[in-house]
Amino acid sequence: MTAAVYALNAKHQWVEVKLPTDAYVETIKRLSHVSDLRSGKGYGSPKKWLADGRLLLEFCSRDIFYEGEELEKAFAICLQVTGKSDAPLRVARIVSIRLEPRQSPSN
Amino acid sequence: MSTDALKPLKSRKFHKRRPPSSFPAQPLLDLHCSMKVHRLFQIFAMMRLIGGSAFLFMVTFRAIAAADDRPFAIENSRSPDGQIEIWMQPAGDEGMAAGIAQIRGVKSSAVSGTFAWSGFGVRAMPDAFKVLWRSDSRSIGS
Repeated sequence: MTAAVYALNAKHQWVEVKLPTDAYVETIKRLSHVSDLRSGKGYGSPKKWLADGRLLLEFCSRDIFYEGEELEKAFAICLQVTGKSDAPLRVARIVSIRLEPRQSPSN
Repeated sequence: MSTDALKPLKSRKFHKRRPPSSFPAQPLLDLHCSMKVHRLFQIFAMMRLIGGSAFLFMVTFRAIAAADDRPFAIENSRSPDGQIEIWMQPAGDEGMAAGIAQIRGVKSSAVSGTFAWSGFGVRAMPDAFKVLWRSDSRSIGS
């Protein structure tokens, strides 16, 4: 799944806040120690907006050496999409990436 | 100038030609004519059938194409305050899931922003994508 973010600018027009691409993928790989991302560019499912206007996305890893869903790791990525006075950023900034606890298959 | 046209009809060569006496010219001619007419009717009926089918197909195809071209609301796309929602205007080639998503005011239908969308499948559907509004999302002038 891929995600796109749109925000109202000062001229009251909806503009796209681009998600980081190559740098984003490389950052995720470096921090998560996985060789590949399940959804290619690494954009996972948007989960929720946080109170401070940040967006939480979830994505799964896909390691080429360990195929299989039970071996996938889930990560939560927090993105900053607006700057000062709620103006949309041109490119979203990665605030944090953290490993999500995996639910066991029996749940 | 040929004077053949000025001659009386009876004097023309082709009027002098007669079928052999043993040959029943008139009935065969009738049969021949009726077969021709029958064949013509058959061809005409076939053409009508083909034409009718083609017309029906064209009408159906156009109706489907027209239905496919109509904009529709994306499922569960209304903002938390109920002021704006996302509509999809299908676009692109046939058999391609693509379109222009419009950010519309619910009451005014005013479009305050658009973006191109494309995905898997043969056409854009109401569940083409999910919308996650920020709780304070709003559209100025909607």
